[in-house]
Amino acid sequence: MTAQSTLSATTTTAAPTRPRLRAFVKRNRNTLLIWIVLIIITIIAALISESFTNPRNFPNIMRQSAALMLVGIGQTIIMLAGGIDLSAGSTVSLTVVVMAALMKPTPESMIASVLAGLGVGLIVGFINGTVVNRFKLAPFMVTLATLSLVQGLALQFRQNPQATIPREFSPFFIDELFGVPIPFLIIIGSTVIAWLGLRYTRLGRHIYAVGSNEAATRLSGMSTNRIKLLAFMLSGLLASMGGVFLAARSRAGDPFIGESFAFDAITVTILGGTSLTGGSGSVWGTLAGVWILTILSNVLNLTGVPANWQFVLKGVLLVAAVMVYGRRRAS
Amino acid sequence: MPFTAPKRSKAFMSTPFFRVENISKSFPGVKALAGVSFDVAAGEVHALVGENGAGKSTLMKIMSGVYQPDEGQLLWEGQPIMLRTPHEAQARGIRIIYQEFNLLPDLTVAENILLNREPRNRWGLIDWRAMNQQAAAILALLKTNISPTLPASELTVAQQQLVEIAKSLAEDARLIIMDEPTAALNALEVEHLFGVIERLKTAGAGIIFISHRLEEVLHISDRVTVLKDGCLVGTHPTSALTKPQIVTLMVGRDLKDIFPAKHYPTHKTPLLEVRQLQSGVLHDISFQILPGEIVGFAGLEGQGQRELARSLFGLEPVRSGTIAVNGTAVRIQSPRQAIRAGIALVSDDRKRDGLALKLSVRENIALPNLPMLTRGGFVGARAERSAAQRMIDALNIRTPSAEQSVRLLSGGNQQKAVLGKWMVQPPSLMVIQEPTRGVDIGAKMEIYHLVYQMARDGMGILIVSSELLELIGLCHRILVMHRGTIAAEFPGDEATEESIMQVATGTDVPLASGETKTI
Repeated sequence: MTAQSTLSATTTTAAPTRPRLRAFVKRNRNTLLIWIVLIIITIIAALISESFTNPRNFPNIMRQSAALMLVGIGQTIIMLAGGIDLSAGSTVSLTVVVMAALMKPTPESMIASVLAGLGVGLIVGFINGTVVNRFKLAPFMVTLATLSLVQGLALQFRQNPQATIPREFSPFFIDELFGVPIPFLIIIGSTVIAWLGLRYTRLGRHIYAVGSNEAATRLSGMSTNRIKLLAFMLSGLLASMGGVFLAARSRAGDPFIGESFAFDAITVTILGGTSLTGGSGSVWGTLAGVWILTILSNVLNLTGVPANWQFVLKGVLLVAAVMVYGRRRAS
Repeated sequence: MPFTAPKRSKAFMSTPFFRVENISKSFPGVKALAGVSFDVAAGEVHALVGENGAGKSTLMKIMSGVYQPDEGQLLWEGQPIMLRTPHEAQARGIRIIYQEFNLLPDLTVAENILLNREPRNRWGLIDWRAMNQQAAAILALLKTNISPTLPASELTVAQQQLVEIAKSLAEDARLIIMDEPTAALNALEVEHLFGVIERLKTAGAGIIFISHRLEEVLHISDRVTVLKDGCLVGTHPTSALTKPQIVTLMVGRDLKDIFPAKHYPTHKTPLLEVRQLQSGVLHDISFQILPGEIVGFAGLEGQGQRELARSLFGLEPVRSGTIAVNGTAVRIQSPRQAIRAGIALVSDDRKRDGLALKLSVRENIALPNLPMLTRGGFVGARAERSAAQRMIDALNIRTPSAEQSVRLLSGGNQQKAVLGKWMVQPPSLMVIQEPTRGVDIGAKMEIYHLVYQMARDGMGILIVSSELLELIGLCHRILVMHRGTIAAEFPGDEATEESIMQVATGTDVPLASGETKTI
């Protein structure tokens, strides 16, 4: 504690040399750290694989990462609020299945199906938030239960033979706009909106507050239940947005399509430096986490490393990240 | 300015705008409040005093919507109201400064001060510049230069306290409840706070001022209400009271009747000798305790007393320094080693550290003594029962039987059960944190006499307590901690609350004339 107070004293008093930059670095240490890791990994990838630097690979990586980023933003929001959403993956699946069942190749039907798909996430989020608040249960347990429940519904709604998404739906999500891949625009756009929302709206700040200390937030006269409910609904909504993108990309009503997403989204959120107990973190860190994961699997595929080792590597990365961040917190 | 309470002339002062009537509140096993009435008028500072556990916090939490009363009603300008949540209380202009800090560590000072009333621009987005400016303006009222952009996790204890106070000033407040607002402040900061209180008074706000520092109560308040064991003792104009009178009202009898007369130890060879201890926040800790001596550690929260008690019991890693018990240097890295060295710890959180709540009195008392009670791998049931019964009788633990679950005992009897755990095989040194926290006055006196008896039998006692009167009444010597080290030492019968607080807040570090710092 003495060490900490002397440390803070030096940064506040002895900071005539670019105090703003220094404060910025200090505040965003985790995010900057993971971006440096991303840059290093990108450079290594470019060095070991020629296919990686092929111009056609960039839109490819963006297509592979957009859905995970959307789900990852949702996971970041709920984890900032001190919760977790294990049901995100099956929410993705249910969204895709519902859209595939409903969608006809007409503009009206496409819009209606997207809205129905987004409704899935809002409803799942509403259920998660309400049960957590009403019965004072741990988000881990509640979303573990909804994970299974929603997966069951996805299997129930699956069409036989498996329904597909009309071809006409895909271009809006995977083509280019003014020469820029749309998935890239989706990633950057959603990150910027989420970042602004978390920083410049009351709800955003209150999400950090609840995650930082829920009791203190309630005693400050806020409805923590409302904040948590909205955080769960946002998480569900973003999972469904990931589902909408996946529907456009895969065009198959596969009820297991989202299976890996909940844990991948948690992985990228933690890699990005969001605290497991809530209160601190940033969607920019999550973005770096998403790209690290995607680039690793991309380059390992290109160089022919078996998928088994990709899992191992993911695990090593995660432990390394938690160790680095954990140590920082303790010191 | 964010600092405008509703204008109200002094004529209103006599009519209270907020009144609680015949409030009762029970928690499992405790009657926290019994038929208490209390009111506050605009432009008035109404002090609320009482010992720890007298019911002040419960009353406050009822007045701020955290708890609901079991009986009684709340009247706001004569109308019965319900305050179901802190939010509803805030909506009426009730602000509260909690004793335990409620800052959000990951948020900045400005965000903490303006939480839930963040200034927004015309698009409904948070206006960070206005937020930092408003926060700075509020902090300026308290004449402090804490930066609004600093994360709350980097504040010192005193700064946290000031930010807590600033939070309550951030909006039009009708009633501000201050629970020990000065606990971590030095004399100058207290003066600034009183300046702010005066301004709030003239602006027509009502203030409930809770403090252990009776000089402050006498100085700033208009009326004083005394609570004891959950009951109302009385409400008096401050001008009609003296400090000794308030103390007598608080404890219900004269101070000198509560504590046993002190007998000074005769042995001169130290039982415990600590030299140059460093560990975590602690540095340069050297002191000794004689057999039969009761030594108290005073200080503000977070100055290292807790860590010291815990490191003597192997709960905090010791970096350097030596600990010797009865002349032999000992290594203490775990509670197991501490117990073997003859040291026992009674923790400040008996429900977490001291007792296995679901187990019976017998099982709890037997717990640290199982090696002694075990024969051939089996716990001797008869030996266990007799050890438990011996303690129940010796310490006067009031329980229907040894088989009663400790959860159902009162606070005082739980505390005696914790002492009983260790007294089956008496240690050489007993470290006691907050010996009477959450204990009623009768049980307090019993515990004081027990501790005193233990010392007379030659045990060394180290007490860490936040209740200064307790330390002054019980201890042969009082050491005051400040910033992780021992800042001063007072002989038990010369120490006063004022002199201890002066050192504890760092206003002044006397090591002058008669006061000797041991080794």
